[in-house]
Amino acid sequence: MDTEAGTWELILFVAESKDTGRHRAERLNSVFEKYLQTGYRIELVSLLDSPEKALQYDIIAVPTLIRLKPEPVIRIVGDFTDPCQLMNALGMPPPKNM
Amino acid sequence: MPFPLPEDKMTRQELLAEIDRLRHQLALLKQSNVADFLAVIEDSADGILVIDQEGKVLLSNPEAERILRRKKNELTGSHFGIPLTGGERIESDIVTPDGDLVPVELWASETKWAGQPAIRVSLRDVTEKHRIETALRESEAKYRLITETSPDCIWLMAPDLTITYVNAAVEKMFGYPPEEYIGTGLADHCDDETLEGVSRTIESELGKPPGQSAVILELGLKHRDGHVVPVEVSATIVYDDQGRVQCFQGISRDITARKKAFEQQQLLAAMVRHSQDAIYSKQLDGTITSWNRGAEEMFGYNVSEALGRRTDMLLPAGGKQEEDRILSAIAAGDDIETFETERLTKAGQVVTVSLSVSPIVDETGRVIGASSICRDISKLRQAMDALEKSETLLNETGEMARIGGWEIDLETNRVIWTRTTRAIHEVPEEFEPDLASAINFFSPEVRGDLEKAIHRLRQEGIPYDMELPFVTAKGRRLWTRAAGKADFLEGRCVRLFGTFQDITGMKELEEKRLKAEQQLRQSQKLESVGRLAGGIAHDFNNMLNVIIGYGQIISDRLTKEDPLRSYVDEIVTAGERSASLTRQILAFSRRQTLQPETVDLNALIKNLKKMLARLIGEDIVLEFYPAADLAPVRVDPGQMEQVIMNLAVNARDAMPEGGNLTIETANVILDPQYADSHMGVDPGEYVMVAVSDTGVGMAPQVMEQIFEPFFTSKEPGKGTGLGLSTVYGIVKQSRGNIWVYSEPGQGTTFKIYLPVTSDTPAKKVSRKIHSIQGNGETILLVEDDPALRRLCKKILTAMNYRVHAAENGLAALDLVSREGLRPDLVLTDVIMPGMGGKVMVDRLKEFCPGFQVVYMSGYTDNAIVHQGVLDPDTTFVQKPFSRETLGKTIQKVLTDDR
Repeated sequence: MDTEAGTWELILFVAESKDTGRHRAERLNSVFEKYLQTGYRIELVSLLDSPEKALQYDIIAVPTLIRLKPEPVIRIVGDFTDPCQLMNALGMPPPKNM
Repeated sequence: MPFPLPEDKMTRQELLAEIDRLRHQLALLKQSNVADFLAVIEDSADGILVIDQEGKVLLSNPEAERILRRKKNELTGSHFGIPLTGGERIESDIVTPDGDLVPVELWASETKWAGQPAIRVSLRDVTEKHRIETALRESEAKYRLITETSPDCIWLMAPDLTITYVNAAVEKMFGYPPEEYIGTGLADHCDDETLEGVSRTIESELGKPPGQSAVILELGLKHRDGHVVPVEVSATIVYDDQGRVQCFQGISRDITARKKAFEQQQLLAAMVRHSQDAIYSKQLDGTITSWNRGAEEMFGYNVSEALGRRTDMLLPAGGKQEEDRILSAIAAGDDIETFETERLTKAGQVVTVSLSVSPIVDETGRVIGASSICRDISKLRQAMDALEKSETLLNETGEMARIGGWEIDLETNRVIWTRTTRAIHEVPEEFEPDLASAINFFSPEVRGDLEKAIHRLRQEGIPYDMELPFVTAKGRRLWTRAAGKADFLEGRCVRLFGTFQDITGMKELEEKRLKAEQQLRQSQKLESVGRLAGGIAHDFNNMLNVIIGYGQIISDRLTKEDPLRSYVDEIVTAGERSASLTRQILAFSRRQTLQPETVDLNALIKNLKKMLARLIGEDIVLEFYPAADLAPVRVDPGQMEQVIMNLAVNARDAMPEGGNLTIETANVILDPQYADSHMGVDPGEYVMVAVSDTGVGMAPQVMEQIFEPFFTSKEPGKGTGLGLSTVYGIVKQSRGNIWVYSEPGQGTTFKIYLPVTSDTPAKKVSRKIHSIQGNGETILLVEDDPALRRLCKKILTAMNYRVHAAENGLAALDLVSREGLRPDLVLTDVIMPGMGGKVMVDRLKEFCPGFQVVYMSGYTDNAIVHQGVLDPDTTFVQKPFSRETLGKTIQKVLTDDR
């Protein structure tokens, strides 16, 4: 599927409760809405709620954002406050006019 | 030194290639002092990771391994991830293999590893920092809560005295929300004086070392509504690192209530201090714990003497029991209401006090002592006693004078009577008077007048003062004097009050006085009439004596057959009748001379009964009730017979249809009271003779006049008008009294009172009738009236006496002293020009003592008249006398053995 080929899959691991984490995820959403032409899916994992998932992914520090798709897998640690830096790290430089 | 070793089995070639690579790297390391660099990394206090471009760990130091809870070989090659920090330190959490989170600060920088670009990640464990921060946050929150909920105003103030922080309490304290208060200056909230004081305090505190500059001030700060709130400010100065004043911080507390309480307490303390009452407190065992100035003055102990001692020292003898009672009541928590008792001063004086005692309790409500308020009421008591005494005196004197008081409160209509007023009314104790019932005690005929008077008093304030007949609750009739006045308040009559007096006694006295005055007037009138009549009668007497005397001589000389004889006898009879009239006038005018003897009136009346019966006729029944043991009186028996006869005749005339004539005698005692109310009566023992008839009686106006001479109620010609006048004169001259009681149709009673004498009645000498012939005895006749002298001489000569006549005393003396006349008897007038009869007799006796004396008188000397008597051994003939009277008297004197 085109969409499937183009859809990003992301997991965000946070240490906060789901509510605070959701706030962070929404901030990411707003960034992705803006810069990602393709679709994306982001999963929010709170270590307070699901620590086993962190172990499964060998998470060392949080917040960690993992881009599962498209390959290669990319792991980012940080607070993701700077959208440009974030997009750069994910290999999707934002347009120049931004 | 740790170094990454290939994990997987390698081929020999591969291994050799690897060794070559390592040798190469070692050479490079040696060239670039990498070993030193690694040593620095190893020792770093922060955790350090070197990460390749894909996020895999190339290198870790021990701190990183500790933080991450992973061993070096576990870390190397593990997927940490590409750090995105934007060049900043970010907060992150490390996930330990156990799933725990370790808070870290994470920052990253680009570096090179083995000639390749790499990322250096630094980690700092902030677990402790977070803990401290959390604690700090919690502590802050706690203090903020305290600050915000504090009722005191907590504030910060800049060095220029601008408020930089203030808590919510400011609104309640000063009326401003905190946000409005912040930014204002202290100067906006106080007056200049306060501001100046604050500045001075700051200045003086500035020099002190930090931490020692805590001051406490009391200030007045303005509330938003303008009133000044008293506050207590605790403040310190806060310095910065350089020692400059950073700010002032402090707490302001509203001390309005405290101030008020303090002022109240001060006021109370001042009141206690300055009270003239003794105010002191004590423990339950009586130990004194406070002692005011009033107590010092009242009891004489000063504070230092009193404190610690026991109140027993204030108890007079026998006061201990009372004190114990008080203390046990206090211990039970009871108040002792004010009561009167006695206390002892230091000087040993006992003072009367009013005392009240209240328990003192601690905060748990336990009674720990007592406070006493003690007032010296000795003077008050004295004043009350004096008042009581004066009230008693007023009451007693009121009772004596029978004067009471009354009051009507018109607001409540309450009537108040004093004790005496109640006593006069003779009402029972429970009787509650009101105005109407009070008026009803007065006799019906005067109630209207009294009501009018009260009405005028209430309307116009005109006082009244009335004498009113009154009937007590027990039915006694009294005379009372009621006087009233009124009190007005703002033109409205609010109160009536006045006096009420029993004047019955005074009224009676007044009536007695009026009666006595009337009696006096009456007797004065009779006196003057008598004087007039007496004066005329005197002259008549002498003339009648001449007429009768010569008439008798002529008659004696004429034979019985002589036709002139009857004429002469008529003349003599008329003369004698005239003489009788004259005698009556003289009797009335009390100018006749009485010859009193001690007389038993019962015997006298008994002797008279036969004649009286004839006098009053058969239609009238005469009754005589003699008193047993009737006391003797000293009267002229002949005159007294005359009195009884006159009264009997008077009674007879009052009973033309017949009736009863009653004569009674009685011994009576006239007391001073009777004497007071009866004009001319001396108190003493009297014999009363009452002559009563059942006749027509008399009207009062007639009674007033019956003793007047020539007053008669009888038909013309029936009476002389002299009968009762004669009675009156004789009784009066005998020192007696006569009263008449009569009412028309009810008969009349005359009561005669004669003073009792201590003498016993003389035995009646039977009067022998001698033929009137003398034995030639010598008589010296002294008479100033020539006609009478001549007549007497003629009569006596005719009776065979040798008569020597003299016209006055001197002539008589001449006869005896010069001519040697020795009379057997001297017949003399009492009153003569020049020497009186009695004086002359005394002088004559100096020459010849042996003669007898007979006095003649018609008009006697006042002195004799008033006494009414001559010496008992003198003999007396009343002019005008008849020949027989004169002859018999002289014969008797000359023949009686004396």
